[in-house]
Order: sequence, then structure tokens, then C-alpha cells
Amino acid sequence: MANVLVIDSRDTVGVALMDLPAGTAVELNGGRPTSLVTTELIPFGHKIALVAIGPGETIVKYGASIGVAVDDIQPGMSVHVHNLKSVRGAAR
Amino acid sequence: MSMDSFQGYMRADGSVGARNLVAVIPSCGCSQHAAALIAAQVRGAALLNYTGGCGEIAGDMARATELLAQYARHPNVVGAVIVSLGCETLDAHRLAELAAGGGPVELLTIQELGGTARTVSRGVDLVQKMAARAASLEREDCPVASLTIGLECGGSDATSGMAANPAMGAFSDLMVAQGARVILAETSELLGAEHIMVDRAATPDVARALLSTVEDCERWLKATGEDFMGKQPSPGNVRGGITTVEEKALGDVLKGGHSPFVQVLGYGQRPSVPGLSFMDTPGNDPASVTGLVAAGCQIVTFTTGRGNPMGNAVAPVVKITGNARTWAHMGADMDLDASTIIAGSESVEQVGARLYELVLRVASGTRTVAETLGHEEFSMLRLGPVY
Repeated sequence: MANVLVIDSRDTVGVALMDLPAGTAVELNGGRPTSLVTTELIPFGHKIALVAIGPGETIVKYGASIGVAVDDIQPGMSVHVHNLKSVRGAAR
Repeated sequence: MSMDSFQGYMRADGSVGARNLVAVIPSCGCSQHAAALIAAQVRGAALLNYTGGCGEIAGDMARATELLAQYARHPNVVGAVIVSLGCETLDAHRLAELAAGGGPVELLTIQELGGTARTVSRGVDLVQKMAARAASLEREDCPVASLTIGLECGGSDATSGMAANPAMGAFSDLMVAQGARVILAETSELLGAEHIMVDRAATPDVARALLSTVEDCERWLKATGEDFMGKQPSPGNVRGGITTVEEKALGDVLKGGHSPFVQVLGYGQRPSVPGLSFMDTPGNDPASVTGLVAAGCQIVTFTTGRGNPMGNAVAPVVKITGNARTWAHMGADMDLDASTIIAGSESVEQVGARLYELVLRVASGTRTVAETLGHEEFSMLRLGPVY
């Protein structure tokens, strides 16, 4: 059974469908093949990088931008407030 | 496609009510206590918890007068008792004039009647008579097209965009297909999803209005010097896995399904045409729902991930969660479980159809959990300072 949901085929992050401890083999919805393994805990509902994402690169979920990476992100890592920043509504 | 119906109350003005409530309306914060005492003594009374009326900018005063009157004329309301102190800036006589047109309207003035106790005694008598008259009204077959439905979300988490919001979208499309009016709201929570809405604008004018509404919101936010991060998404949203306002917005916009946007509404403005509209409201849930209900929504549907118990003074609020833990832990505050979508045992369309059936039952008299628990939230958007 899938433990990570990819909402749109363009997405660079998936959503954990249960708490995924470090070292968990990822199984994607729709049975798509993957060799992805979590490199840290991804709590239920939180995001996991599906691909390598460099600083300044747009991160895609729902097939659209949810902000930019502010750090090097490797596949299997958690993507959240520590490495993803909004480009909207922020005071600059 | 069959045209569906529900059991509602036909009003003289052509609108259809889902409830028979008597609104008790303080015209200022100083008469709020007397109004609350009146409402507490009669079953079927609905207190509008308004605490302004003095020391507000002209725009807020005008908005309050109009919005309180809209509640008095709401399809779910059969009569109104306005409780005034007598010296407030808000013109209670003007409010009473604007409130007329639905059921009976009475104005009580504390300083003229000689105090709280006399006002409460007179008010209870009036509300009781209005409620008693309403008890003889009977429900009739009414078309779903006579419904106006608000779409709201609060206490969102990652499950909102995966389950409850898409299910609400399927429900919204079913309502639109029946000719109902459906209103999506919460401008600040759509920053980053406006391109999706603009693509579905029915006309270039609607597209321009959608874009300028979102741009004005973002410009205003930046002008305050506040950083949106940490507020939108809220700390609870972040704990639930939502990182940025864009991510929240892309999940939020799913509540509107796939229908075209036919109108952009100001806060509390009634949609003039059937179909899916967008209302400019804040992300603050009680204030947003208060605006939706002012526009004539007989029912508001409300998705939540982390669990939000809220209701409204005159409109049933139907709550849906896509989070299995919230359903198990806080299900006593929820009306519908959408977590079956994530579990894979039901499709988005199946849960949307269940929500549609539930909303028609609620419109026909079935009480929501928020009604059973006595929720009566009312919180008006205020733009200026109170001085």
C-alpha cells in the first residue's frame, strides 16, 4: 500500500500518508516504481522531496509553485519551513 | 439531470429558509448584555454578538448597519428585535428601517424604557411572540436552486487539500449544477492560487476582479510591514504539514470544484446570479463566515484538518474533516468524515455526493453538531481603528 501521495505528476514533493521513520522505503500512489528511501522522519501529512532540489529552485505541489528551496534538498528529505520559503505575502 | 429539492420555509420575498430564528441584535456594545439576556431566555432566538456602534470609522459604521440589517432579513430569520442603548453613534432607527422587509422588526431603547431589566422583560415578550408565530410555519418542497451555500475552511492541515477540500469541490459542482449559488471566500488564503481561479473566470471582467482582489490583499499586507510567514499559514497549519501560503492556497482553492467563477463579491454582498462566486473575506474564520451568512447563505460548509468546532448565529455550519485522527479524536464536533478518501475506501466524488445529501437534510431541518452544541459565532470584519 502507498505510503506517499503524489498529487500531480509535475510535483517535486510527495505527502506522507503515515509517519515515515528514517530509512523507510517509499511506495507511491498508483504503484509507480521508485527506489526512494526516507533519509529522516517524515511525519504524516508532511512533504518528502522526490528529486534533488537546489537553493532558489521552485518546489512544486498540486502541479504549481509552493515557494522556493532555501537549501540543498536531496531525494528522501523532509521539505518544510526549514528549507522551503514562500515568495508571496512576505515582508521584504 | 433531475432537479432536486429539500424541505424549506417559503418566505414572502421569494427566499427560502432552512431555520426559523428570531434575531436579537444589539446596536452597540453597551446594549449587548441586555440583548444576550433576551436571547438566552427564548428557544429559537439568535444573538448577534455585535460589540461596536461607537468610536468607529464611518465605513465600519455603515458596514455594520447594513450587515446587521442583512442578518435581520436573512432567509433563516423570521423576525428581529433590535436592542439599542440610545446614545450610540450607530443609527438604530436607520438599522430598524433597513431590517424591515422580512419578518416583523421591533426596536427597544434601554434609556427610553428605563434600564436593562425593563428592556429584557419587554424583549423576551416580543421574541417569544415572534418565535410562537414561526412555530406554525410548515416546510414545503423547495428547489435546491433556492439555496446559497458558503464554502469555508479552518484549522487546515495537509489532509485538507488531499481529501476534505476536493470533496467539498465535488459537492460545490453538484450544487452549481442544480442552479444554486455557491460562494468561495478567504482572499488571504488564495495567494498563490489566483491563476487557477482566473483560468476559470466566466468573463474577462470577473478575471480582472479576481486578480485585483488578491493583489489588493497582498499589497495591503505588505504595507503593514508584517511578515506573512508564521500567520498564514497559521502555526497549527504548519504543524499539520502546510509550509507556505501558496501551498495552503492550492489546497484551499479545491473547495470551489471545477465550476466557472461568475461573480466577485464584496464582504457580505449577495450574489446576483446562480453559480460559483468569490467573496473578498479575511482568513479569520468567524469573520469570514459572518460575511458569507450576511450574503444570504442558508448553510455554510466548513472543512477542517486539525478540528474546528465553529458554527454561526443564524446559519447551520456543516463540518467535514479528511483527517482520520481528528475524526476519531474530535468527531463530536464534526458532521462528515472525508478521511475515507485518504484511506482509499471512497472516491472524492462519493464523499462529495454524501456531503450533498447531508446538506439537503440539514436544509430540511436536521441539526448540525454545531447547532446541537449551541454555537452562535458572529464576528464582523472591521477595517478601521476603534477610538
